[in-house]
Amino acid sequence: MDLQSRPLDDVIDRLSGPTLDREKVSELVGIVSKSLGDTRLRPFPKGIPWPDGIIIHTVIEPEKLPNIFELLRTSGHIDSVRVFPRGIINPEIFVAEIEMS
Amino acid sequence: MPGSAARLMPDPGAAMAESFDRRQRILQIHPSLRCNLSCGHCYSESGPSAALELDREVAAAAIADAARLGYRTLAVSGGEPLLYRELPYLLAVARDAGMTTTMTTNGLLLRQPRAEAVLDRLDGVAISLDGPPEIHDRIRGREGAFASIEPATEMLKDRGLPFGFISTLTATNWHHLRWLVEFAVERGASLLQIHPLELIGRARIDMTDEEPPQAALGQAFLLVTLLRVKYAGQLTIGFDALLRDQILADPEAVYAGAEVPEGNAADLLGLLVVEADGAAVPISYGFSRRLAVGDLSRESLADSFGRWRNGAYLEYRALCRRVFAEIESRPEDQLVNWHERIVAASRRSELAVV
Repeated sequence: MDLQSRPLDDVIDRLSGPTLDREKVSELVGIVSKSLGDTRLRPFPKGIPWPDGIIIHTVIEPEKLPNIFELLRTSGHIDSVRVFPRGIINPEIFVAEIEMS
Repeated sequence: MPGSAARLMPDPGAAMAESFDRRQRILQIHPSLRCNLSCGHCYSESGPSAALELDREVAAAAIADAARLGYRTLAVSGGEPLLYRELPYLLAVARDAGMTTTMTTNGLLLRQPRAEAVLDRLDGVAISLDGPPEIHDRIRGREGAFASIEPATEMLKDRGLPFGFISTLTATNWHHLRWLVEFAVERGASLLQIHPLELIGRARIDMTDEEPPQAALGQAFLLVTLLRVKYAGQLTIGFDALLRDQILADPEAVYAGAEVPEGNAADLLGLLVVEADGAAVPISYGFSRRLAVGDLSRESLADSFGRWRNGAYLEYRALCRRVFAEIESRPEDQLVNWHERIVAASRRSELAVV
């Protein structure tokens, strides 16, 4: 596995496991919500695939997503997730150390 | 160029701009409720014994009208669309009208010879996938259902036809989101779209304990966000729930703006659904017939929409504003499946009238 992507994988593994405390999840969702700013996510009703997603193969402003880690880092309210970015340039070369309790 | 993404990609800039259009401009058609599976979460309660089918000329006229009214995409669902024999004809009508064509399928019949004529007229295919093999087969109600997916995706790749997966998120399978994403990337899919389970149709009976609670929805949303970072540029991951903050910041995205917009039908109503009995309803399958656009077996879509615009459309928007107010009053619900909410509210309004 790519060493640089390991911290991100750790968080994904942790979030894939048992359900976290609802308040903690709520706080994290709030942080992500802020980090997305004016990004418009497009939900679809049941049974309809997102045509742009399936055909044109675009992504929703991925450059905004690494900001989530910066917000997590600077949030004084999150005790269980600590993220230490070492220089976020783009998602592929994101480097961070994450400690979860 | 049947089956080619290039037809749709002359101007990537325009494509990106379109992706941020507030209205999706999609006509969804359920031509039949007949299906070779009886999935536990099926919102339309489709199955092998369902006989109802949309008349092909009614459907063709609706597609042609919809294109003139500003709808750009035809999305075919069901039932299993590949069991509807007139599908190649309908897709050809849509293509001739300049629409993009997509189909949502369970994938079991994709490699049958009769699927050829359908695939030739599609711009994208979405295959339903509910998790690793044992979970997928359990929800689909058929052992071995998963086994058809890998060869189907190989065939689609060989044809150069873009494809993705649509996955229903339940209270138990959300732990497998990472597996779903990795599987989608490995198979060469363009899209993985995650749709939270809705307790309607067969799910009301078979999956009552499976609706993801708000905490699970939140954790799944976080996972999707991180997986988007990890797989940026490789896979588009859609999540069919809106952040409450996004809704409050842009009421018109959920038809709750103060001003009624001007424009063509697709500007006023971004999602139009034609059900197997010919009813045209707003937004999503199962919307209250009281607010239906019309019965297309009796009147054309163009005529129906003209009348709806000047009557029930205002009532529809009033309903959207009531749902908006409900969302505003519940800050604890950070993630909202707005489509489910509005359909449920339309049903409640039906009861209130009775």
